[in-house]
Amino acid sequence: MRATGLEMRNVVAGYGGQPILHRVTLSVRAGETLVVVGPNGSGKSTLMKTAVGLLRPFSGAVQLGDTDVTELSAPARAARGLAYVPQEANIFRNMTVLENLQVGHEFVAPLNGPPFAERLESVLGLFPEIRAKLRSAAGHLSGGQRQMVAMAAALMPEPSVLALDEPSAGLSPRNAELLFEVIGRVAQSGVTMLIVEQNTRLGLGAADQGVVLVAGRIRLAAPAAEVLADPEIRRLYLGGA
Amino acid sequence: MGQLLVNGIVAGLLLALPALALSLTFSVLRFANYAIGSYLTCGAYLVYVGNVVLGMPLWLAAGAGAILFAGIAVAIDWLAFRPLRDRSSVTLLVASMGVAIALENVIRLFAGNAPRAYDVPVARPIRLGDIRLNHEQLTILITVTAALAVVWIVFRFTRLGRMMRAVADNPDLAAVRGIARARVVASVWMISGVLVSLSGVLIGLDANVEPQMGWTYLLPVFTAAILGGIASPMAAVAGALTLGVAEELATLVMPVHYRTIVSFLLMATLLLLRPWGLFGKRWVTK
Amino acid sequence: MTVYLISTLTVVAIAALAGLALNLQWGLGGLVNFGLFGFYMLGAYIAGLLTVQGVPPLLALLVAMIGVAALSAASALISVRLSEDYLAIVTLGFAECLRLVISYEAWLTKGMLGVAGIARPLQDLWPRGFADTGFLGLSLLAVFIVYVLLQGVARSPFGRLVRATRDDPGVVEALGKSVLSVRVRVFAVGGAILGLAGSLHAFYYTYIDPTQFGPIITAYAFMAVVVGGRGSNRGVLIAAFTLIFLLEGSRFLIDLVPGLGASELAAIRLFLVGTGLVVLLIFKPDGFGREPRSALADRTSRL
Repeated sequence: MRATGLEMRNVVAGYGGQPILHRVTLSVRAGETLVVVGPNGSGKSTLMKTAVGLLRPFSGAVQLGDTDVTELSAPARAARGLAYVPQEANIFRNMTVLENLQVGHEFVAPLNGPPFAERLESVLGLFPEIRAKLRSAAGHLSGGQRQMVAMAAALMPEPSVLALDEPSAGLSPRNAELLFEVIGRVAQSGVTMLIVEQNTRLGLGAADQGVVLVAGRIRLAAPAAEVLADPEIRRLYLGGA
Repeated sequence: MGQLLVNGIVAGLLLALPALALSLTFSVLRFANYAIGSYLTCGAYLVYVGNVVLGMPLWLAAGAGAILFAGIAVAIDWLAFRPLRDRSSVTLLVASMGVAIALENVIRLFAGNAPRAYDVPVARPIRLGDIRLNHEQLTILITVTAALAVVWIVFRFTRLGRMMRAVADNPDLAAVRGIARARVVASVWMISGVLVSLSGVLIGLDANVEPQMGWTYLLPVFTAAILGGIASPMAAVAGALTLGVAEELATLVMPVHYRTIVSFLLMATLLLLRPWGLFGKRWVTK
Repeated sequence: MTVYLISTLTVVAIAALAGLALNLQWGLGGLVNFGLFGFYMLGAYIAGLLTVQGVPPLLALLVAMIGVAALSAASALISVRLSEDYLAIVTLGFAECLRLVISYEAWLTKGMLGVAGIARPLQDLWPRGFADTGFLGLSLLAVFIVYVLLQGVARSPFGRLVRATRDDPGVVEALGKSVLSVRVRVFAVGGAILGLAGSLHAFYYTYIDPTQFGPIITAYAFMAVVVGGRGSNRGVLIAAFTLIFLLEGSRFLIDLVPGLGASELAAIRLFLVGTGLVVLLIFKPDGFGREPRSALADRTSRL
């Protein structure tokens, strides 16, 4: 699969006429992982929703690979290889795990792509824990398992870009670390990733590029290691460590 | 007693299809379609035209009428409900009242107020021991069971079923998983159009075809859907059967014309005690 | 012609009262009352049955208002924890049950035969031949009084509380006020007005039977509120005296257009009401009257 980049240019977006993001520009290069960190209420979720098409920006553009997708709906962006795992409500609760994976695959995957069974095996390879739960109702799973099912469903159609909204939210530190291990493996397979993360250290540790978003504006954009090393960022978000 | 139970189940089956349709549209569109009664009437009259005016056999007229009405239901959505999609569910509710009145009066204008009957041969009831089952009841039993089975299979095992369940479960997630809502909405209206017109035919067969028929069923249909916890379509069927049997048993202590009151009391009690339905999971009100 | 005019105006005045009642409940309070016709019918029956028993009409009117207010409040109680969709269907069910009981409890209500010979209030006041004009004056006076009262309510602290429960019940609860009690009071006041409208209906026609009352009464009231603009009492009055006047006035087309039966005309009229309601909701959601303030204040803005 050819890797695809994701770009946002001068995006102004928000709800009910109130902008939350102010002229945000960022670019995830093909095959790289970019992590957006920032305090609560800085507009991280708004950024995510605008990127995946759940929210139309007031102005600015979103580009996926060579295509300007600003005017495309979320389903249309999904069909172009952009997969998304929301922070909450990221599974179909009343469906079984298997059905969740099926729905993840069947409306997006290219017709000439690998068949469902093949994708299922490959995704279960990444998340072996959910194999035993395939027939369970997804709503009955634990938080960690749910997060895995959500990730697995998003990976089913072999997306070229994966967007994750706060993947570690609500997980125990141990589960969060396990999840980021998997995220690292997915990244290595060549998938472009845009991650919004509250856990700055964990998030930036897995990233190539880091972006700090404060009050809807980009405060700093640099290679992840530099962001982690930035003294002010350390003071503000890493508890002065 | 056995006879009452059989009558109750048949009455419940009559409610099952429209209750399922109501609950299906609610689960996907999040608004209670008050026009469902007039949809039922409209379907029944379309089939009447095929059966009596054009002389088709009833099964053929019912099939043709149901498909035609499915198209009409999509058209109504397109004209009346779609432009209001982003507004509150109450606005949609009031709009559906407007649709109900308009539709019912189109029927009155063309067909008048007189009750009509389908052209079917009269047959003697079947006896099974003490229990009597007339042909209309048998038709209801078979048709509704078959329709429910088809809907269940579509829900469980088809791509379309997963689409509808996904949108009902979590519309935003469904969108990012590549499901275009507009297509799901159209399918939902088509399915509910077919179900409602079929039930219109069955009710017309059981009683008469008249402009008020849908109105009479409106409250019981809502009650059945609420019993099932309005957003879970298959639970609405269980709600319908429960209500049918309860109404029939109530005739032991109440005159028949007060069936609607049974329905209302059941709904009011349930809403006070268990607002998320007898069978449904808790549905969080906004 | 004046006879037609007086009769139409009286009917419009009564419909305007129902519209004002709904405007309090739905426009100001956000409570969808689909069972409006049932409360109206109850008012008509209480007033009608009492006057037939020799109770003075004005006293009967008062009893009707109190009775409907009480029952209306009781029906709102069922809606304790429910969203608007459920309230709509609960009120509808309540109304339908009322209609059934009135239709079948013939020992009390004379059932399908109807109640005849209902006396009007203050009948002797008017000179011979002007009874209808006098009654029209009385109805218009009732509309005026209710309008003034409701304008007062809308501006009062209670009115603000009602609007607040409509826009954000959570905030009202957080302030320590009971949303349920507001809802019940709104329903009670609205019920009293519907009782008044129903009584006037009974007095005007002097004969009532169950077929006169149906969901169409509800539809007219919704039409008046939607056209007038939710929350605007003046808008409701203007809508009633223009649109409902035209619709009701169309009854008399029957004499002018040959080959048009009463039932066809009624069907066309109601078809127009139904489609008009939808069209207005789509194209003119705020109605033509002055909206006190936007009901669609943004509640979506959260991160």
